[in-house]
Amino acid sequence: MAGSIFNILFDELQRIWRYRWLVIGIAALLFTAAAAYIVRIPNVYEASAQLFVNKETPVSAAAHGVSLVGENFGSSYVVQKTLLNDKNLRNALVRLNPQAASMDQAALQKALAALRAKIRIDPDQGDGFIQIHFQDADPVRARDVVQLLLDQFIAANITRNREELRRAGEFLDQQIVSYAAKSRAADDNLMAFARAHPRVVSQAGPDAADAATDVANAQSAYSAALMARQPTAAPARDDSQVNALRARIATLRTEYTDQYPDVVAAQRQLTALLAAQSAVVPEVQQEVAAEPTSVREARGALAAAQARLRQARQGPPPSPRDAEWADLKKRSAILRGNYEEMLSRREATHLSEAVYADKNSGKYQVTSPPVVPPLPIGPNRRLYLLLAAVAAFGIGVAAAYLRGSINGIFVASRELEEAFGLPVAGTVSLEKAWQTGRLTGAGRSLLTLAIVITLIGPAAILTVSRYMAARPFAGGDINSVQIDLRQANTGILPRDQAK
Amino acid sequence: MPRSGANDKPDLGLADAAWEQKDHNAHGSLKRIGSVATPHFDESRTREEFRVIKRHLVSRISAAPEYAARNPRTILVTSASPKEGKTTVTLGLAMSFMFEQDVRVVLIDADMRSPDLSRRMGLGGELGLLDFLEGNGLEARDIVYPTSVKGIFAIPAGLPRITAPELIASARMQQLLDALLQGMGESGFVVMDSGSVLSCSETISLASHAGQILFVATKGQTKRADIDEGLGRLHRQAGPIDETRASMVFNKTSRSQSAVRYSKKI
Repeated sequence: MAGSIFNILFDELQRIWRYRWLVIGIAALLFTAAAAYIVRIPNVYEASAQLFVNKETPVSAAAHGVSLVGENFGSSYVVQKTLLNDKNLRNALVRLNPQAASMDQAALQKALAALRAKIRIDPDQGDGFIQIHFQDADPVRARDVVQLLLDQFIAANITRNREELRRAGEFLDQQIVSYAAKSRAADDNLMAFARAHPRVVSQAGPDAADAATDVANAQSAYSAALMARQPTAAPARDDSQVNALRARIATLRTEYTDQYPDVVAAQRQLTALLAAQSAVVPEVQQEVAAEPTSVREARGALAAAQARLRQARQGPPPSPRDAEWADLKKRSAILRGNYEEMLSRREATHLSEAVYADKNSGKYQVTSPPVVPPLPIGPNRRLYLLLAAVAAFGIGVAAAYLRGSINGIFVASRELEEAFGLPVAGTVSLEKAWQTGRLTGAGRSLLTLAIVITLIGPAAILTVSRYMAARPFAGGDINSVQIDLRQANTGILPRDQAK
Repeated sequence: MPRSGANDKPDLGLADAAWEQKDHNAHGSLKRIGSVATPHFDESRTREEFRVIKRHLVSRISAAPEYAARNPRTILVTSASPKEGKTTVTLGLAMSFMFEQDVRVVLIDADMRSPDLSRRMGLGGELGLLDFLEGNGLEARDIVYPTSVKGIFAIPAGLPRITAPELIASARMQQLLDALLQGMGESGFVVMDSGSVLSCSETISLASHAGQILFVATKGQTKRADIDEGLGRLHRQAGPIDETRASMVFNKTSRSQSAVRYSKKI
């Protein structure tokens, strides 16, 4: 099996060897053409810049909790997602080439895709730094494109922020005017009702809903007072049982007075428990007995609210006039609350504009302006030449194999037998001295080699000389070039201004 | 048709005495002695390669029925296209027969388009096959030239004529072959170096006289389509071409492909 495979491979190699000069010729021509093309590929320079997206500027920190804008507003993630959007790229493209403004949609998309393909963004690794790279054959152009992108992005974001906040302010202004009118109307209705029905207004008892709300507020205040009364540093001897009893007592006191049996029982349990801890009994007794004034006041307010609630629930059902009076009061209170809320938000909007819509807010900082290294980053001509040589040789081999297959030549006697079914009486080895032609095999080979060298020699020399003559880009010159982008009205940036 | 016998054919002047390698013809004029030039034939590999071919042909002669339609001692060397090495194979085969005892071989240069055999044997311009076939009062012995190698005789192509295909297809050609074989007896061979099948129509006529056909194909040169067409023409116009009558020679191979694996110069 291995022998037959070896024979087949050997036969195919002989078939190709038969056309070795075709292989050499095709490979030489293709490589020469490829080398000429590779040498003509312009150098590629890469301009880079670094942008820092400040998550919390001093101004934004000062406005924390007041500003309308959240923490993720303009984050590095948003930058990475929006930097290369069509709008930014289109603006950059038009700045670079004003004719792009008159392109049809297909051509514009193609130009945008070409521009986008040259841009690479190294994403934020969590530190807020984003690097932007742009590759181009023209180092000036590469640097200017990066600068354009940065300017474009920052300007677009600031403009967008300003616009959004302006719209928010307008909306709030409209709402404030609307709520002011509604609130005045509600107040007018309330006063009109009071004038029309003074008895209803003077005899109006506590509203059950209002009383319930007052009870809830009083309970919250009382709980807060209790919590504030507890020592900040808990003694080591306080165990969970003592704390649980105290919490239960506090809860019971929100509902009942100190004379309520459950409260009394709980206090006794607590006293007993504390007494068991002999080292702290006097202290605990003093602590339980001495209530701060704030707690007492809160408990009093809670008791009063609970009394009003009981009164409201035990009283007669409200008349229609009473209900109408209560609705008018509630509506007026709601509208007034909304109005005041709108006013506070309007002020927050003004503050947000000051923080985020100012170009000097420090949200986006160009930490490294666009620079172009003096040496080109590509193309990798050595690699390309190597690949071209391999490809040219491969194509030459393929062409030779194809020609051998098409011609149907024979390279082994067994092929003859298999093809025609006739016996092969024998083989006769090639003896070069038998050749009766004008040129021997060696002579033909030398002649072919001479022709090939004649054909590709000048091209090869030209290729090598041009390759050797390639000079790196002089970085010092480019960094000293001053370009005014506002004057870039002739398409490509004004390279002729470079001195 | 039974194989030509020794007593029922005219000798055309080729009695036994004619095979002595005389320097003069019947008219007394001096014959030019041809030379067989096969460079490097002293190479043992080459000798052995031609011996293999020769043994193949001889074995076919032994295996052929007595009354075969064509005498297997009449061997035609041809190919599909020119420059395949027919003349070289013919010369090499003749030189291989040289080593046989009491064997006579007549080489006929029947390649009228390119009479290389005549030229390489130094018989270019001499009276030859076409002159004899046209008549002109010539006898067969007048065109049979001795060579520098014992037992090997040559018939050059003769002066070129536009009627060469018709002359070769004539009955006189068959008579010549019969006379040659009769004159040489059972130890004689006629080897005809012809033109390529696809370029010379007379090759078909020669093939109709040949008992064995050696079809030369060159490594890396001969195209399958050409061999197909050439064998097809022979098969249709010169009798059946099968493995009992035709065999192939693979020429200009590399030494690694030789049937002779071990050899040295001696």
